Amino acid sequence: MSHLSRREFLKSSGIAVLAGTVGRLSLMLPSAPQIDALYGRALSVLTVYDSPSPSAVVINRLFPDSVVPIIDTLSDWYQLANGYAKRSDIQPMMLTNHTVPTPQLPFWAEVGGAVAIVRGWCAADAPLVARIGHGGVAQVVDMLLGEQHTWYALADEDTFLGWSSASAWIPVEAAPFEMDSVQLHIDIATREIQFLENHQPVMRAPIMLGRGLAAGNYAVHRRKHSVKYSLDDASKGYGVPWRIDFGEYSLAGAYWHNDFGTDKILPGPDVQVAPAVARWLYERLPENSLIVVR
Amino acid sequence: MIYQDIYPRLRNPQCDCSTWSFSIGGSVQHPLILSYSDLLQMPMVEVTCALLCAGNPYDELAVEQAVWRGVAMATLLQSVTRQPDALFAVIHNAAGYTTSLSLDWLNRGVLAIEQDGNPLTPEQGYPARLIVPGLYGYKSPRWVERIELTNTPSGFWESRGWDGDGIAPTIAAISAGGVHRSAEDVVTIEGFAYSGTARVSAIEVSIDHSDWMPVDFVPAPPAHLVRWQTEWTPPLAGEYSVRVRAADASGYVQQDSAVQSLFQSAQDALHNIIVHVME
Repeated sequence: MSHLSRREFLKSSGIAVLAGTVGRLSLMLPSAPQIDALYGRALSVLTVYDSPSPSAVVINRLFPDSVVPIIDTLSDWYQLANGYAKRSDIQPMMLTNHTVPTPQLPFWAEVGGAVAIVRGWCAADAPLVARIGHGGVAQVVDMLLGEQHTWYALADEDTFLGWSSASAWIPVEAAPFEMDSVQLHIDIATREIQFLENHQPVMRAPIMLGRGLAAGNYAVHRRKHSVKYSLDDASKGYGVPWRIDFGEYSLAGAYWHNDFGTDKILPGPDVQVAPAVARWLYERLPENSLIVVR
Repeated sequence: MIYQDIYPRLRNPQCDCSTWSFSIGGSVQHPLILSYSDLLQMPMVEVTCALLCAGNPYDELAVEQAVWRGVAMATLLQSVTRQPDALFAVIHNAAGYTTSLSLDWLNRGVLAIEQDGNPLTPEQGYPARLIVPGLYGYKSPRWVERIELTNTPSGFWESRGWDGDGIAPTIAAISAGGVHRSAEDVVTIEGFAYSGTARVSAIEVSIDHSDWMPVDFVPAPPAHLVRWQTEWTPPLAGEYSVRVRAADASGYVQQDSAVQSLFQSAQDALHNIIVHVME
């Protein structure tokens, strides 16, 4: 297993921790306190090329949700162990061998593997309810210890979802992070957010928009661990993590694409960020925090 | 119980080629009657095709491919003068089974006497079996004795609601997956695909309802078995639902919404297996 720093992971995700604040802000996934390696999840059928160009020779195709080590980041491409793949085809993910004790029911959990399959009952051939990608969040409201696998009964903030194999989930708790005078700036033109403490930028991350935003100052008025969104695929859009509502808009993590920073507009939250970024913001933007859209 | 109820006469008949005969009658000016030795004197053709049984359970698809050798039905039909009302052919066999075909489909058939280089076995219809590539197996009866040209189709299964045309659909199935020791193992998933009348143009596999992944296969003509294989590394221990679907050159793609049925569209649903990956 190759080792890399958190900073390298953030680089691969397009996230910038600005100078002087790295130690304090510790932009890591709390559920993955020891990052072993950087991996990527194939968001769909993953085409692997022999060089970082769409006209290069195709040397392999991998199943959706395959997990591949990421060796390096080259602009719009990732270097894999045996070739190159488009950055937009892979969701960066951090896997760890760290085990977290199972809390008492109910508790919140995030998808620690590539994807969690939610079904109507505890069987692999039960009807599909949802496919929740890496970083998605749901509440574990019950569990069933099977002969071979443990199953979790899952819910979001509003409704019961279904049953999912426990091996895909890691308990997670978004602990509030005390900071002074925080603000979030959303720059529509550059598709970027900047987090400020005492007017000093401390974190920058790319975003994608779900619809047009009106410029203005807004206050955070509600937050939710996990919600549903209507996406193109009816089985997706569940367990969308760390939603922050401001004005008539919402910001949340998106696990179904890696197009952050591009000018695309995709269904889902109005402001979409990587799930790790969404959680980081969720811990640091309490209600009434200022969000500036410009 | 079911076999005895609905197949009262469909036991393997014991046919003696010294007394067996084949005839084409009904709406023809003069019937054609051939002995087994007459048949052996006629020009032979070979056809390779798979036969798909419509009555097999959805999760135990039976399909069999062979090289069949016999006399082209087109040749036999040229030996009779049809009357104007000869629109269909009703095929009768020694077990009392009947099925019917349009004359167009019958013209594409072969009255087979050999399978894979050997005389037909009694189980495969000795001394002669009709083979119609592209149609379900119930349109290729064994132990054929008589074909009657008529203006009205009829048949054992057709009279019980099965499809009169019997065109075999485009299907795909998984034949190997199974249990695996750990998530580190590469899982080889393999199977076959088949299309009765159009060439199989794509085979795709989906794991746990993910996007469809195209898999490699060797192209083959319609009514041939197409073998496919792919490899997949499970990311975690657990149980995975693996589905397969096929598409054909006509543009048809197998749909997930098809309802499992005992009748004509028995295979017109997606085949899936559960792959168990141990901790």
